[in-house]
Amino acid sequence: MTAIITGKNLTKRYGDITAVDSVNFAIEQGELFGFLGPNGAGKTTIMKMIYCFVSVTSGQLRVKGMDVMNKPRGVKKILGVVPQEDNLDPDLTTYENLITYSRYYGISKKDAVARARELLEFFSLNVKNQSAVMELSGGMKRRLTLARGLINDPEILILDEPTTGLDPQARHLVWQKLRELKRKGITILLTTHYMDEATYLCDRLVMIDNGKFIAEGPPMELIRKLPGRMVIELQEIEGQVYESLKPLIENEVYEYFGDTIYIFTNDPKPILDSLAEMNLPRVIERYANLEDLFLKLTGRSLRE
Amino acid sequence: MLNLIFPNLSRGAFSVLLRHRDVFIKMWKTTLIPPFLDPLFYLVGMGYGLGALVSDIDGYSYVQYIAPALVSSVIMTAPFFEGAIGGYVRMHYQKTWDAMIATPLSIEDVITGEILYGACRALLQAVSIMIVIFLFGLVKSPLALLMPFVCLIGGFMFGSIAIAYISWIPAINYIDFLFTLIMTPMFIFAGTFFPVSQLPPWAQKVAFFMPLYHVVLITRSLITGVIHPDIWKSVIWVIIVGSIAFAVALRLLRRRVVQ
Repeated sequence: MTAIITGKNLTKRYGDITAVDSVNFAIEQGELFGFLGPNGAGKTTIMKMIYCFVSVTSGQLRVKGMDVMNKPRGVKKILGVVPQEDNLDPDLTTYENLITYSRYYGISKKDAVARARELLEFFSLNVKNQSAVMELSGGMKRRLTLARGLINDPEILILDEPTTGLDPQARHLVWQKLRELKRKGITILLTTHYMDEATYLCDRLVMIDNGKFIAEGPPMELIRKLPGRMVIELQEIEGQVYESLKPLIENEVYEYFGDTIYIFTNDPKPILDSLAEMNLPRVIERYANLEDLFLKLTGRSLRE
Repeated sequence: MLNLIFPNLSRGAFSVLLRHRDVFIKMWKTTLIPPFLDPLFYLVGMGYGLGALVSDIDGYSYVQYIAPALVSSVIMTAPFFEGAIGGYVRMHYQKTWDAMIATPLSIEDVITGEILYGACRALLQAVSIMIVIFLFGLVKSPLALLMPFVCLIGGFMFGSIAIAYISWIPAINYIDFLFTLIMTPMFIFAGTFFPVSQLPPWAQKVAFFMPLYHVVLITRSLITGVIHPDIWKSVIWVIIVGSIAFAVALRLLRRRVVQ
């Protein structure tokens, strides 16, 4: 395996604000790599530095050996970019969006037409190829943006929150298409704040908070770092009830936040049995997930 | 050669121009007809209506005097509207520029494409008005065939000014200042509807620094066939000011769009 994107002490500052704080990473060719974090963590800034939209303050960022600051055209030629904000060309139809975009890459008309047809097919957009962009649903727009990002047959696809705002059907379709693309050998980078998305899709991921990496590795390995593979949530717990519960769970690993107690365990049965007679309003038993790890590492308070 | 002065500029600018051409063709009814009717109303209303009450100016009938000015005015207004409003909408609201610079295009390519499109709009609209004034018998010289060149250099200059202007405004309504403080005074005072010699001496000096003054001087010379002795100075003035505005536009927009 060879690294196709490498960041060394990569830093981005806007005035006094450090958006990305000296991070290091190496993304392998052909992997699906995720950047996870709350809003404002710095994940979009890293993406934007990779596609040369934002300058690097210090450190080094190379894409296939090319420095993003010196060779932006070379870098952008092998990338496909699917930004967070919809920026399809509203003055053009679905089909025209693809053809017009291909011209920015200097692709010949003949190749562009063939490629556009193929992509419209792949993303089930053929019936809408003469529609104005305004007439498309949110899911269709996202699929068209994905198709547009693939018009130059990129080696690396960059997706900034690809499924934000989509309904479950549309999300699953996007996921399925991304896995298909990965099988074709495309390196895929994505940012998300949906932990389930990262778990399902990513080979490896990093968690970002305040511009720094706080965890990295394959999602299942990260989840195993939690103190238990199951979580029992005791919801709607008032302060007094909490005090009375304390002795029952004092040997367990737990957190109390807001109105909920989270108990991490590998063996939930005895705990549930011991709590049965308490008549608690809402008890939920579930598998531990990335979100638990994320909240454990970053704390549960709001990020704004 | 151009690459030495503007290292980030490439022939990719033409792919941006082609995008604008495609959109223009789709929307020609709204992009071509209203801006074409506007000067036509001025020509008939002011030229023939008001003109009947006005004595000849520098040996021209009034309608003959203002006809070249109306051609000149669209060389200014077409790229101003396209560059300022169209440009701002594509930059800020539609994020069309952001999408373009995620491809191998640089921001310089995108802006150059915008400015070239403004120049092409100037050419198209000026030529359609010239056809009308030709039918009214107001084109007096075959030198008018040189007008496309004037439209392009003039349109390039005005387009660059409009794009440079939007690089530092915080919101779209600031475009009004460009129109009321820059465009309208030029439209009225740059030797368009009356000679600048009617102005007090200090204002005549100001008029000389109006880009439109030079475009009117050149256009009037070519359409009437009475060549103004300063025509070369004006051509050079337009080319130099256009080049400066272009360089400024590229610089300021890179700062605005790419952080």
